Amino acid sequence: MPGTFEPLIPRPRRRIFLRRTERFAARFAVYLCLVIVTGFFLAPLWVLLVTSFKPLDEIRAGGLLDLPIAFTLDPWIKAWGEACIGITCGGLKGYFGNSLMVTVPAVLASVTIGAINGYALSKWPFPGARFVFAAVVAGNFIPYQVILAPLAQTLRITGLFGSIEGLVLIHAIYGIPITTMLFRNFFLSVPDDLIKAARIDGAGFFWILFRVVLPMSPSVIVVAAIIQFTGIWNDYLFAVSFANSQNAPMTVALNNLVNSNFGVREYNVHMAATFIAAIPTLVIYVFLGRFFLRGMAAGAVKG
Amino acid sequence: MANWKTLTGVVVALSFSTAGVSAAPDTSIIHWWTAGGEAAALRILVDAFEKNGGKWKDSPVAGGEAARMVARTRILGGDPPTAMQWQFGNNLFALAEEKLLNDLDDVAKPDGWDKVLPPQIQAQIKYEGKYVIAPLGLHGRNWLWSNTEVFAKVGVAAPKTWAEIDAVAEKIRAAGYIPLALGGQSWQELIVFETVVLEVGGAEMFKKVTALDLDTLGSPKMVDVFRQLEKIKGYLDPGSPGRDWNITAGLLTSGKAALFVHGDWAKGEFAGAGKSPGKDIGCTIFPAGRNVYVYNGDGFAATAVTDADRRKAQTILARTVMDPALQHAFSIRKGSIPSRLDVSVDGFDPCAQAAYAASGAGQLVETGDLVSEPTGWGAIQDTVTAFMHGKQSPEAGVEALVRAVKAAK
Amino acid sequence: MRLRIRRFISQLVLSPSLALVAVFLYGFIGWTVAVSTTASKASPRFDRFVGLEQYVRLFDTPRWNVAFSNMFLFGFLFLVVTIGFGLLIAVLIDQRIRFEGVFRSIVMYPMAMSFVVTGVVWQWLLSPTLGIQSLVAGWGFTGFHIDWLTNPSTVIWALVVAAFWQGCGLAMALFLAGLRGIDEDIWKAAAVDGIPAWRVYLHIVVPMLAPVFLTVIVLQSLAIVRAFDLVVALTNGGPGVSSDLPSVFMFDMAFRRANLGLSAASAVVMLGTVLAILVPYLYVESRERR
Repeated sequence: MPGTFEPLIPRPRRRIFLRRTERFAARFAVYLCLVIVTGFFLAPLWVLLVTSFKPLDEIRAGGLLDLPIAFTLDPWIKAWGEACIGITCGGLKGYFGNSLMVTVPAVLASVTIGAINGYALSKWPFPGARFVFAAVVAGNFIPYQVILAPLAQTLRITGLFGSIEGLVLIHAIYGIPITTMLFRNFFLSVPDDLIKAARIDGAGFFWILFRVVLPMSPSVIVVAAIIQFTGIWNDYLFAVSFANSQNAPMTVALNNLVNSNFGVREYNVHMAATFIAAIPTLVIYVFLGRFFLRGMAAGAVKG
Repeated sequence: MANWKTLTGVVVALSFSTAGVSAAPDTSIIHWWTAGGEAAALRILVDAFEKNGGKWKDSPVAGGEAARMVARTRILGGDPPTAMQWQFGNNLFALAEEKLLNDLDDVAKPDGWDKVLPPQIQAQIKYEGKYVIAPLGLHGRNWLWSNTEVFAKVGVAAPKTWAEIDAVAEKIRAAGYIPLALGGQSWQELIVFETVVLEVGGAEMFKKVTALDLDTLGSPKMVDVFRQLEKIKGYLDPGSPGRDWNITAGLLTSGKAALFVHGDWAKGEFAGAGKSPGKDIGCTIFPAGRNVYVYNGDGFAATAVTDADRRKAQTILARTVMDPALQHAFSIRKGSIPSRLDVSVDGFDPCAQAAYAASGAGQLVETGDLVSEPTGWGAIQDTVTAFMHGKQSPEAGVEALVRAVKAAK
Repeated sequence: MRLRIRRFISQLVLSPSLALVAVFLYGFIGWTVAVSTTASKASPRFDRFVGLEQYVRLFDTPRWNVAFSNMFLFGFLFLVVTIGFGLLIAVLIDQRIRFEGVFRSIVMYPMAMSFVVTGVVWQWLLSPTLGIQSLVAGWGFTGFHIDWLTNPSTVIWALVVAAFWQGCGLAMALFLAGLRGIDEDIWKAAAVDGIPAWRVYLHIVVPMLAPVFLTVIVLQSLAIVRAFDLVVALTNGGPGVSSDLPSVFMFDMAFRRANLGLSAASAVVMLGTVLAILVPYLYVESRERR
């Protein structure tokens, strides 16, 4: 059933071997497990939300898991539009734009590069392609904290330091290993015969990629885009080091808001701010998650 | 056709590596007073700076080490900020040694900084005889805070030394209170360690410890320090390990705990809970009778930029930071004390007044953050926290301390 | 001309990426190795060559030894728990259940949350005086204890639980997609033969998911190496130094303790270890795929 997200595998036959009560018990066990899982995953969200609706006095008094006694929306209003981040008291609302300006081009770039690389490595292999692949993936295990200094100097040479373009470039570069890996592993499952046939018809490298391979792979594109979007949206280290004060993205603002070490911690505002900062990524997971999985169901990670 | 697309693809891919758009110089000022009360205090400085003709371009970075990391990265990237908040002492001298700072003597000389700053502070902010930072405020670390109401209920006088705490801890516990609120994170435990060193060996021992003197670190007196730490473990509640200081301060203000050893920035939490320091929450420069005020200080340093506009901004900033009226207003808002000695104490709470008097009486002593070799001081912090959460004997703790500091040296 | 370009098109197209990888990954790895042989303090100084002294000092530092062994312990537990439960939850969700989208979203949403603050939430939840323990005690079960956070010998489990909370969604999603991609004939055949479902999963489905395991392991290993916010917000390395990890150690040495040389040495050791474990695996797996 293309176009809907029904499980692709109808498996009624299996049930023939189960008796009615057994079947009921099995279903019950499945749902029971899922309810436990749900409880575990939702517990932090519960604390986050109840805390965000409490006045600070109530948080100081303890009872962190309880519902608010004096329900208030003020923390949300403050986190969105009033909290002081440095000397600018405008909350988080002004930082969405900066984050998007970095995230969107960086995701487009790294996904494009990853698709091309993965396709080249898997469908146009050459001697040593496997080694190249392993080297690209392995290099990504360098811890970013130690390389800030040479990175800054490299950006200085290219004149990109402190610019949005520089930050986008960095994210695109450090996204190459992951996106290359995802696309390569996916494209391996695309039949070689398809490529061969197209080549015999005279089609070139990019023609086959854009007209044959990519249209078959919406799934992996969505997977790569979502992973990259989350990673870049939530990046703090590169953002704080290489964005300047005008184009600071959301994570920098969030950190500035919540990590004031020697100041009073307004936990309720922090919780609201965390939720607000996560809205774009939450929207992606909750609403686009179905596309994500529908895509993969079509074979994104099939061996 | 295919070739054309091939070429476009290659060009597109290459352009990622060569696209160059130069950014305009970032004339901003880096600081770590990013939120809440700290940001509100900064606002006072910013307003004064702009009234004096400066133009503040804000570059907040949460956390001292993150802010210093960003400042260094910007300098390396060829785009230094105009000025940056920085600590006194080692960190500052490291910058000056690398010639990354402009000195501020063109302000300090005519404005007579030598006459108004305590000599201890001068020693921490002059490099090769020249001022390299404009000092703003000092935060004290060795404070003992006590909940007045709890002590009234327990029926004993609030203690003022570790020996006195030892004497009343059992009574407090028996009355149903936590004797000592402590957030069991390494930097908070380091504060406690500092106060114990002061109690055992006074200023003399304290200075030798921050100088990482191995004889002192391995001395019998240090065993006494660790014995006291061992006792302190018995005064805590089970929730202590890893707890944030803010939540810990809440134990004191809500009357669940009797005592709290922490720096004067905790006053912000007390005020937030509606308790006034010096009254509801008693304060002692701790331990009493040692006449030592362990401080950490910061101010604003000027980067080694040369253009006239930014030089001028640096001058205005230095002058603003050292303005007595500004230091007065700022200290009240921030909960710190002024670096200058000639500021009015009107409006200071009793605790701040006591601290300012201590500064005037020459009782300032630097914490290890300012004067110790950082890796060695960090090794002390690591060893103390390991001891607080481990099962070492005090003797073994001292042995580990010496070994760790030796390795770091 | 046309033919020649076609012959080398793959290498040609890859070359810009490889050039960037060569500079920004391997060039900087080389830079890090170089710095690790110097006595660099707050900033890199190549004129202070000290050979392998930083490495000797590194393994003399008790805190590093804790951090280093924690990386293995945390990494192993995290991988096992995430892969095990990720697969299990994927299988549960794959049982034609109602509200599938809801359950899926619930498992996946933590991926979107930053640990800067949710780390604090986990700290509260696992705190014996503030969190779940006091809640359960309030219901009358006073014997119930969660002291993971406050006990140095179990604190690593607190990290694992919180990291699992965030990382499970990715594993679950990848596994679920893998399960959905499996040929339905296998189920039909197994049903005809009367093979119980669990055996089909264990002996047929799991081996078929091998490539998914590779993807999951690489992505989660990156998460282990990068785990920083998690530790800083949840335990700050404590109690004591018991939950320290190399990433935190590295940051501390570089920026808090002005010891770039030592920080670089720890980075090199960590990178070397990860590669020693991962590269043979990567190589073998990528070979079997063909």
